Amino acid sequence: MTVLQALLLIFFNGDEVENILMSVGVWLGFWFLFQKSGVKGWWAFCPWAREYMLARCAGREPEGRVTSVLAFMMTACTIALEFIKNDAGGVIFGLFFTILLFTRLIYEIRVYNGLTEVYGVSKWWIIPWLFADFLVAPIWGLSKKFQPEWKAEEIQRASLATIQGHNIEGMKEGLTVNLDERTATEFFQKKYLLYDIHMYIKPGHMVLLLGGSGAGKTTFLNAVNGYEKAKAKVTLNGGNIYSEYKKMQYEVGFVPQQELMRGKDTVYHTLMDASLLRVPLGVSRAQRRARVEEVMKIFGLEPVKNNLVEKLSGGQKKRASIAMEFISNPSLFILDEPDSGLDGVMARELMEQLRAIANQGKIVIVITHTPDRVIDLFDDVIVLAKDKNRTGRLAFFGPIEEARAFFGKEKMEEVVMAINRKEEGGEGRADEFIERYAEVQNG
Amino acid sequence: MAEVNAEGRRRHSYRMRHRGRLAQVRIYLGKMLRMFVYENDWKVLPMAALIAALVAMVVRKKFFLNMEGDLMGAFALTCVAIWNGCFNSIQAICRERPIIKREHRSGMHISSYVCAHMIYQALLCLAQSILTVVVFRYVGVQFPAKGLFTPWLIVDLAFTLFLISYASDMLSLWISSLAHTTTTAMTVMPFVLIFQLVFSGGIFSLPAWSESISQFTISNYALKCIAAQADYNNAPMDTAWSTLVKLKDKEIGGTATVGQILDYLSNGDNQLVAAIRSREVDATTTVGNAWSMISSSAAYQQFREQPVEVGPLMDALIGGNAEGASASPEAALVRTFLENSQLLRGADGGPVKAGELIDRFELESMIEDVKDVVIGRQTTVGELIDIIAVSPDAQSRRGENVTVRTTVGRLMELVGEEKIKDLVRTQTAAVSRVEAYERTEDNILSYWFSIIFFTLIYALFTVITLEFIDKDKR
Repeated sequence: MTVLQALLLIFFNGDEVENILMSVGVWLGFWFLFQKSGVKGWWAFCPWAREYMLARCAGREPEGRVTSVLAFMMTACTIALEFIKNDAGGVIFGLFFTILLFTRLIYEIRVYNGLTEVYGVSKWWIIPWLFADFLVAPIWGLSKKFQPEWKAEEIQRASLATIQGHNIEGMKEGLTVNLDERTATEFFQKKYLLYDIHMYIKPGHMVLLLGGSGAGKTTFLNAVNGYEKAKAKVTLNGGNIYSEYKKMQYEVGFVPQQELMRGKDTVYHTLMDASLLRVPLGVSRAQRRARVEEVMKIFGLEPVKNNLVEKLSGGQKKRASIAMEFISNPSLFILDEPDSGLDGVMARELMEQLRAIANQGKIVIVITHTPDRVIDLFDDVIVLAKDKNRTGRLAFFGPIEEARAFFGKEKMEEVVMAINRKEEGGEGRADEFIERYAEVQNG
Repeated sequence: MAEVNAEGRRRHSYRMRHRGRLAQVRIYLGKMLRMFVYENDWKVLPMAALIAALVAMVVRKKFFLNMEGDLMGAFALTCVAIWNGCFNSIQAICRERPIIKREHRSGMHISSYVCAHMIYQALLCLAQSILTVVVFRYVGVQFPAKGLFTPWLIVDLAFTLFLISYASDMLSLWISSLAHTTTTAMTVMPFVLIFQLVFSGGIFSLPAWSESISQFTISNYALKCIAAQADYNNAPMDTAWSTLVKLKDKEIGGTATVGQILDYLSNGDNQLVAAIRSREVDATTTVGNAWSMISSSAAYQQFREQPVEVGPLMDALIGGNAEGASASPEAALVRTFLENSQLLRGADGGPVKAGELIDRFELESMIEDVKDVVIGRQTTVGELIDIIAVSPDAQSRRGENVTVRTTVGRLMELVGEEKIKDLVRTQTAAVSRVEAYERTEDNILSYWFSIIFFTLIYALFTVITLEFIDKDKR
């Protein structure tokens, strides 16, 4: 049911012939429009899904999901109204229907706005789209004047010719990652977020994680630490992180990008509570206190131990956030942009502290967008890139020097530029490196 | 704690046990109590006192004194408790949602976190409830002495308030767990409050279809519970009486037949009429007074001018009749004398008038001799009405229309204000009784358990909702 049909139903009680004519207009128009935009034409005949597909053509998938659900609910509401005989039920469903209608109107405006952008036409087209889509859709679908600037891509399974494919044997020490795929289902559509990533990281290594925006860096880290499960096998010092997650989660320290701490608590209490959560039961109170004091000393938080967290400087907050995870002395330490918002000196200082942690035999994985100022502190680099199907793939894993040779770039920021898509201002060579790296691994 | 051996290799310490749910409850409870001081959560206490004071000033002169006051007070207290509860926790979870996600990732149990909140919020609600009743008392609300479960109603009521605000607290804790931002939570809050208050079912009369909805509101059970504790059903109702007092100067009346009025006034089953009929009337006077009233009346003057038929008069005075039947010879002689004398003839030679006869026989001077004799007796209005009702004159006039005009105040005076007041207050209270407001242990316990049920359900919903916190979009 279109918005116009709904309005007709409310104000003019509808007319069957009109409805049929309008439906034919919508079917034909959408059939040709979908084909122009790279979506299969038969979707035009699928009520509710049609709205979502149109939104895909407009590059407005989230709005399309809402519009489809609203369209389905409006149909259900209309059917319900046919059966409801008492006044109260009629009032409630009528009110509900009206709310749905106006909500849908807003979402359709967003979708049509996207459509005008994709087809490069005036925004005024939104109005006829809203009230007479059965007329506008055939015009847009049949006229050669209306051509999309880009086509909606069918997200399919990653299909590069070469894949790494083979699993790395799990080691007794260090981190072994064998990730086959990490998918997400959105609105009945399976999307590949990560695919075919295999590596082994030795203990005591500090690893840089590089990748353009949307390459799946955080998704990868979440898959590695077991927080968001993937089709994978991840072992840390011989223990399977996925099957023994409840026990092994304390072995992994994940420091998020933001300083997620309660601002109104003191530094000391924040760390003490963190120790209570993370430190095993066998450790005595005195030992815990000593550990908290030690961690505060390592991260330079002693002078501000009785200050409220919200009163700390940016650098101190970062250090406190890292200290919270470090309190349990984890084997694998993952940090998502720990240097964001810090000046060069403070960032360097922080990274040196992380290097010191790695030197204790721990694995430290760091995402940073300014790697070159501290690149000398890292042992290895992981480069994730979006392939042509926008799936996160492994473009490189190995020592820094090898990475420079592999990409032919001196700086890591240049590596990121090389793998970024052209529309993002990069060189668009991600697929090339992904294939080359897989070939190298396959020998 | 993980430890590092001599070679810098770490031992596999992940098989060690970490703190369980109960221990984590203690951690978070301690954290929340610190937040109470640092995060300004303590401000909810003076706010609760302030709200209680404002409401108490409005209801203090009526609460526990009559039905209207009880209902209004119950509604006001319900509002206060729900408001307090809702605002205690509406931001509690959503303001630290990313932190909860992080801590959950680090081993925090959601059930422990929610349990700590439940304990912390229970302490807040308890303090607020105590403050509320204390402020009510201080402002001047007169609590009845005895409670059903404790020797003091104020304690019973404080417990009810605690349960209400705690249930509301858990409801808004659940909303806070659903909302991703404080703005969303605060936007939803007014709708929840309005829903609770409108569908409480006490103040607003709900259409039949919506009554079942009110079964799902905390306010419904809250209001019933407080009204029952205030002994709503045994309180008088003042609305009708105060309305009647305002109408004192209002003129009332209309047209009715004499018959209708007499029938109405003769009906002793009617309580109002019975009250009028029972009033005593002093119906005694002296012969002199009666005579002066009669002699000065227009009717008497007319009577004096009326001609008198002599024949029947002599029949009465002497006996026999004009034909001499049954009369003695002496009577027949006197009759003949009188008939032929001027004594029974008018001054103009025509028939004698009543006034002439009274004057000739000096009847008025005879009354002077007995003027101080008391006649009549004490009687009631009812008796007088009955006498009038059966009189031939009244019967003959039953069909006549009579227009009666008076004021409400005059009518009330006629019956007696106190009697009407008692009657109106008790009768309107009798028809306004509500079974759900009956002050029984069963009733109040069932309301308490219903509210507790809501509390537990909302707490459970909070746990279930937060278990999905990992699914939040990044």
